[in-house]
Amino acid sequence: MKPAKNLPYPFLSLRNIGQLLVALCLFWSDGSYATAPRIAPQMFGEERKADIIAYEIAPLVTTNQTDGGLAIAILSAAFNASGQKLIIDIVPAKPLAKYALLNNDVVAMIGESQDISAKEKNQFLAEAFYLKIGRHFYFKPNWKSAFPWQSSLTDLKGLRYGGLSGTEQLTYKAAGIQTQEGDVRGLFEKLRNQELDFIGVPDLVAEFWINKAYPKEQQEFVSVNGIAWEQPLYIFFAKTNPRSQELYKAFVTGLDKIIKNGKYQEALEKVYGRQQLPADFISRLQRYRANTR
Amino acid sequence: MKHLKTALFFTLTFLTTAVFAEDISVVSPESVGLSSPRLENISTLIRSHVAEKKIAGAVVLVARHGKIAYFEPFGEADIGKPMQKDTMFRIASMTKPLVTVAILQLYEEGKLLLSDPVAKYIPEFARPKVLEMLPPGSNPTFRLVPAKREITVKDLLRHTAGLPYNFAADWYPKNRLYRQMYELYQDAGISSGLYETAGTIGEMVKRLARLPLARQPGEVFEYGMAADVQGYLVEVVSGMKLDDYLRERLFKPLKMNDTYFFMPVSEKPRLSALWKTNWHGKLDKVSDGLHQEGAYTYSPSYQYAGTKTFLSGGVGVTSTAYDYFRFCQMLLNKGELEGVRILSRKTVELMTETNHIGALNATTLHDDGWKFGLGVAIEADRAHNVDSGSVGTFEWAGIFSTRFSVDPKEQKITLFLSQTHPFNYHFELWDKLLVLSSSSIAD
Repeated sequence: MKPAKNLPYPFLSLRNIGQLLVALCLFWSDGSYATAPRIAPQMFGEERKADIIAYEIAPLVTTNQTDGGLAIAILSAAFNASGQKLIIDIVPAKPLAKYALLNNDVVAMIGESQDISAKEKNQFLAEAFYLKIGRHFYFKPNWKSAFPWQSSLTDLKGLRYGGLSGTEQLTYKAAGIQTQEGDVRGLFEKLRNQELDFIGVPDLVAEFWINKAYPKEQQEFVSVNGIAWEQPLYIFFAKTNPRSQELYKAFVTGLDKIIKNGKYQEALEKVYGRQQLPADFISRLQRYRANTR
Repeated sequence: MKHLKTALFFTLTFLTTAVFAEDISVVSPESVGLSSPRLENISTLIRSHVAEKKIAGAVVLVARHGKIAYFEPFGEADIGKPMQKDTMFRIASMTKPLVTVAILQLYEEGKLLLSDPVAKYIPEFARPKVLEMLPPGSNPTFRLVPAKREITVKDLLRHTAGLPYNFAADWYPKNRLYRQMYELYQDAGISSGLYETAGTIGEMVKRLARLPLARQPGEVFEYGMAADVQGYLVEVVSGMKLDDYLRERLFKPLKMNDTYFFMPVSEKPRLSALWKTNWHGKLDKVSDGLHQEGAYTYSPSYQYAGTKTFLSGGVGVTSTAYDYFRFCQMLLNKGELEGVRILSRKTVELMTETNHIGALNATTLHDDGWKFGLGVAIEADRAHNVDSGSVGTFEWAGIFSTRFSVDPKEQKITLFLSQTHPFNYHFELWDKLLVLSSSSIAD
């Protein structure tokens, strides 16, 4: 600011003093916006804090179904049976769910046994509540003669098997089968492109993926009779969370209730249909539940 | 009968070519201030690359003052099949400027503002988190911090939304952040669009929106998935599928008659094969289907195989040199071509003449000294390693080795379309082509 004309420095005119006051007012005013901020958090509604976190395993755990998929429907039913209404958030990637659990952002996480390391195991209370039923699939156009499966993995000696990352491969290797790991998309694509002879994928996951990615070739992906493997889904409660004991007990009690009153079976049949559902599904699940305690 | 069929095939091929050649007039270079002998240097350069089996073939087009002065096919489009002027190419990331124009049309219609948060239209983007890596050995390996602000439509158009490609993990192998982003993308089924992808772009973008950003919004030029978000944004705001929108609002008005998301089966013979080169004489045709190389997954068949439901705004389009020339000429004409206005002059100026990344540099493809407008890089000065000949030139490229450059000062367009993988070798070829194109100016 220049000194006003005809006044010896440091004297200021009234006009200059006014300008200075306005400038000071602006300097000390709160915030740097000429108006309100254009983007405020309130524009997007209230943020809901989740109690439980899960990662997407379509169609078992998915944001694309209103009930969150079969596994989430069972989980919710179990909590509801104990009078607990919880917020379950489904994130698109496993590391984000694990992060929320380790960071104590949530009470519990839904996942598989390999999601928790041996070192971390003591930090969580685990309860199995669903079984992924693995089945073998081959691609019919790649087989001029019949697929050589009869009853045992040794029938498939010398073939190339693809399993989901982190799933068991040793029994295949022991039977003389070459093994590869991958994700669902990669396994199906390699199967179709003759880079693999057969793959092992959970039945509902396979059905979902075939319908989505190969709608015109659904009949060409053939499921081999019999269960290839099974893998439980767990809910892991963080012991350090003050609500974990209460919610763990509520969940176990609720799960017992829905198994007993037939609601669990109903939920399964709604998705599977009676034909494909293994008759002993619940007794298989109970074995895992007993083992985790 | 067989001979009759063959004769018919060749007659039809000839007629198609004849009609195409007749439609597109190529003027004498001298009539538009270019030098024929100097343009011939381009032919020598490309021929030598074909002869050395660095590339199988290419189409190069140079136009000035609205007229094509150089339009040459070189080598093969497929095994035993010569390259034609109307050969079709997977233009990959040259899709991005097309989608940018779509967004800007909606902007001009008052349907969105560039300052709008993306979450206004795609709520899954609300309250983004940013990924920060923790020291090696930490468990978890990263932490999530709230973004300092929401990402905006402009962040998408200038690649400051913090959305890298998964294969950035290969570009920067020592950077743990990109490796972590790659793992998150893999887990979440995030597709670059460069291979057959099931589902829709909307489904994928909603998953992407729930992942953390790699950078704080606005702070880093991070080339990648933003154009796919733009593509879905076009769908949300216009209420049309992206392919329908582009066809009705851009391709048809500009008479880009050979430009598609998923090409009709009848056009497939016109699509160039994709080739893999080692730049030292080994050149192989890439077979259809998925190819995985490190963090990079690609497939030559993604534009005619699979479910054909995934409309990638980042890489999904096939086109020809002539069609893309028409798009470039529209931009060079400040939004209009042959009496059809696509964008206003003011919006084209905002897109192609305005630096939107401040002190950042558009280093993907180029070098320090290149800035970024909206959907295109802009040469800000000539004192660096990639020189188009003029300040103000704007350009972009595609990962299967396609590239365009528009020089408003000289009223010149340069287009190079090839189909060669990997892309990295082509920087040298492109930089030389830019020099040859600008040095062909003779007025």
